[in-house]
Amino acid sequence: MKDRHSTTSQLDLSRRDMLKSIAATGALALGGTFGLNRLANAAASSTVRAYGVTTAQLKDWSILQKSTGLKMEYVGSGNDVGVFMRDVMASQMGNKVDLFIFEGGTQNILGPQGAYLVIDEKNPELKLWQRTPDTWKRSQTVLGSDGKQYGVPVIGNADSFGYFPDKLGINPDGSADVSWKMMFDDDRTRGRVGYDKTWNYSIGVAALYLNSTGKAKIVNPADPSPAEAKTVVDFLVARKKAGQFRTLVSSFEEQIQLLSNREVDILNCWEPAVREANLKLGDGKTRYAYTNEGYYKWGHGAYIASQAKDRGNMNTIYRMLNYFLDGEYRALQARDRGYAGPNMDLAVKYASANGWKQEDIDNLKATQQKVDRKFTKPFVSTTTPSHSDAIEEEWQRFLNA
Amino acid sequence: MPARHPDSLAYGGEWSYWKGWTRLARWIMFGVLGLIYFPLLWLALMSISARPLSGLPFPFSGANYVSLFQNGDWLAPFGISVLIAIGVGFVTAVTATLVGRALPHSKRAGTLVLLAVLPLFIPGMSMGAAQFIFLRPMLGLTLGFWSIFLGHVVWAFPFSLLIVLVLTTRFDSRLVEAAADLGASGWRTFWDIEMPILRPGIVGAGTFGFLISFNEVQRSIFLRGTATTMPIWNWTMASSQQSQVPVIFSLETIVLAVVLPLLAALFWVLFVRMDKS
Amino acid sequence: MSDVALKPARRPSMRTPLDRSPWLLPVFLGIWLFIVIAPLLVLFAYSFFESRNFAMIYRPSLATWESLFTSGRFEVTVRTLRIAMTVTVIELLLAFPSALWLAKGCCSKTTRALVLAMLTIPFFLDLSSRIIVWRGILDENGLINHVLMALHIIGSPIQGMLYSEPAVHFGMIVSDFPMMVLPIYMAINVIDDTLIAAAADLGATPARILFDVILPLSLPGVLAGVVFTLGPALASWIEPNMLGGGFVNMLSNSVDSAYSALRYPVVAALSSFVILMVGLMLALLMFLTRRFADLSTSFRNLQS
Repeated sequence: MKDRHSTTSQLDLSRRDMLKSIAATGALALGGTFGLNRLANAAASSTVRAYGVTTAQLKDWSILQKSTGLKMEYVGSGNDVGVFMRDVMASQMGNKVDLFIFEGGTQNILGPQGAYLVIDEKNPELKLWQRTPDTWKRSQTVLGSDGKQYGVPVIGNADSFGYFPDKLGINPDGSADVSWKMMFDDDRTRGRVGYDKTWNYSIGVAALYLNSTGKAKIVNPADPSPAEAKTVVDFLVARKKAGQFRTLVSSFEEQIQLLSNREVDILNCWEPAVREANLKLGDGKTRYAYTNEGYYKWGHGAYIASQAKDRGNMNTIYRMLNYFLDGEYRALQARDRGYAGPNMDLAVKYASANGWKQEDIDNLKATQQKVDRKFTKPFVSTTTPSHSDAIEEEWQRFLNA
Repeated sequence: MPARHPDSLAYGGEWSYWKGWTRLARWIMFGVLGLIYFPLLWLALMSISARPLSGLPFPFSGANYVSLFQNGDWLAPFGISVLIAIGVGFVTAVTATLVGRALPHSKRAGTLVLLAVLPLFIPGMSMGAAQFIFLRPMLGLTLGFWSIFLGHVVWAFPFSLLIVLVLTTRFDSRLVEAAADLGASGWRTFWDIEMPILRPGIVGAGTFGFLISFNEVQRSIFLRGTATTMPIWNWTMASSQQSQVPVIFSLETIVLAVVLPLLAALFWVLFVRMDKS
Repeated sequence: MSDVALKPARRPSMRTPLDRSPWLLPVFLGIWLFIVIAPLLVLFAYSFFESRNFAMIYRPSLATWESLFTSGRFEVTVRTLRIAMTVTVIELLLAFPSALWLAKGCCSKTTRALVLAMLTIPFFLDLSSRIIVWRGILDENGLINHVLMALHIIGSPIQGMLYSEPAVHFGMIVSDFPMMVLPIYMAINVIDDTLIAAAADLGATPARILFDVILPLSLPGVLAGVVFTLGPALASWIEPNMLGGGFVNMLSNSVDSAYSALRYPVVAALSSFVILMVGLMLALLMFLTRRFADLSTSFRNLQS
């Protein structure tokens, strides 16, 4: 098996195993959550099965059923792109689910390999596709690097960092643009900085900062070349040795804990961490920054599993995709998690029509404005940078320093 | 020569030259136990707090428990974890006993033990990756509960085996030989002679197997297919940008409150009532 | 006379569990080789390939092993070994007296059952929740500093209690304690009290009792405990993650990071390197102790 191909992908590895897996299906009756015969019935029913990140879920999927009659069965994955791609490619997850929902970037690798179907933009069920703006439709989250449309945008946000305005002497209403310099190279914050340990999350913003200071010229902060990655890591190692960082963070709970207990003054965390910290400390004590240089912009996309081609429930799948573009999903996600997405105006319409409180409707508008303001700045992230090996290798130097 | 009553030794009395050693040992034991349990008690305290991740338990609220019972997402993974763990405990106890009884008599005991113990030294992620590569791309099997089960058995087996070996290496094989000479069948020899002596080891092996499987996450992530155990559920939820801490704290407090008396009772029955006479 | 000599030969089997079922160990070995050793060999083979951009390149090369040494990953292995061994030694020193006390010096059997239960319970519970509590205690604004400052023992908060190697050691020692105690307890528990009484009656000093009677008889338990602690210590990733704060990079973190980029060869190379190191250490240990004791014969002696 190893000699047949000089280079191969994990997808190739498992194609020949389809035959064997059919034989092994009998043994699966014990554990299979989605049996093959249930999938056959899916054509008749209106159930959609999805596998992906937990942040794309509605807190309560019964709302979906009430308004559209669709039923969603969701299997959660972690945020780990390695695990996700392995599940799609080597474990053939598409045999059991119809949709994948994950952060942008996987379609660059999995799309050309045939794990995702190309989106049929003219499908009659995809009613909202035309009116969805291009900034969402054609973003790097859902458009493959080969130019094909693999996904439908589901969620988007722009991450920066949380900070204590009173400690750093910044306008406490949080509306000012703060520089990433505060995070990387400032005496006021030395020894009080929390930095995320995940290389994917953290190296891009460091590259962005270095670009802005002119110390480096990195063409694509989301995908630095090996030499560029080395420059960034050299800078970070120097800052680490100078005592800039107090701790490297690796979980959401840690982020909340650090902010709530005021152990750090600045931390490149996820936005909900700031919300949780403010619940304890009081409204506005911690702010999520608008920055000068740019943001870690991320988005979730919904991709169709290639195995869904022959299941006969394409219409159901496209109805689900349309739901992701619609006002109800948008409004609920914005209210519950603070995320934005395409067609926020539909969300406002939905909220007004369904009698939401005025402040909730105003919050929706504020979320949209926030995202608009952030999206004007550069830098989109990808989970699958083409130089991932070199970047990860360089990152080890930083962690070992 | 005056016969020393064995009980007097049980109180660590006359044969120790330094009366203080019992006190020192007791301090160490309860000290470390205290360090282990302090976070657990704090956890229990925080589970009735409105802000579990902050430093202080105030204000109190039962909201975490309410959300635990309202939001039943954790039930399925929890049940699956328990079922798999019971299965793993049973299988490892049986196999460890079988192998552990035979091993000390084998000429290649040392090599076999080393081989059996090998998985212990391999990081969970590596072992999971190795087994995944072997089962999935190479053998082409679809993974699910059975592969998690297998991975857990492989991980727990060295522990169980070593526990049983602790007892079987000390086991007086002349007892078995005598029974054979007297004509007892294999099963009777096992049940009447070996079992009472090995029972703590067998139970220990099964318990270890259960506990190790219950909280295992690194291998399970690799071998899961679509199945979800409790630790996997925790792990997927950890990236959900909404804290799962309230649910986890409440669940663990309940588990603590339920399991502690149960296990204490079990050990009391095993080691006190049925102690080797 | 010749009758006695012939007797064992007439009934060759049925005398030990191994004789009753001679097929047992080979069958076990076969199964074990298949589900454990084969995957490990496959993994080792993978270390000789490379990965690029989330895909494997099946051309044999030493590039991965080279990068292991140039990128500094191997120092992660060395650091992990050092920390794991330190933790194991400390655990042994703490656990042996505790186990001895629990088995021989303890008050009543009820207490014994209770302590045993308390030692096993923590396994039920999620390690990361327990460790995250320690962060709140050891940190600059945490409980310890709070109390010490309130009592005016120190003027400014002690830094370095958290996000440092001592913190990681502490976390690992507290988590791995039960693993070391339980096997040693089991081994000491079965030591016949009359042996100790006999030794005392013969006039042995307590130190001699300890070193010549208790220690050798409890050796299987001690070895099991060392193995139980060393193995998981090498693989620990929650304590370095949460208590090390990015300043203590250990093996599992490195493997985790490589895996997120689907770099199977790096994962394979790192794991193989660890096994190699552990194997070397064990070989060294065996060589040194061969001068003082022979393990396999000591096992046989224990049975009589």
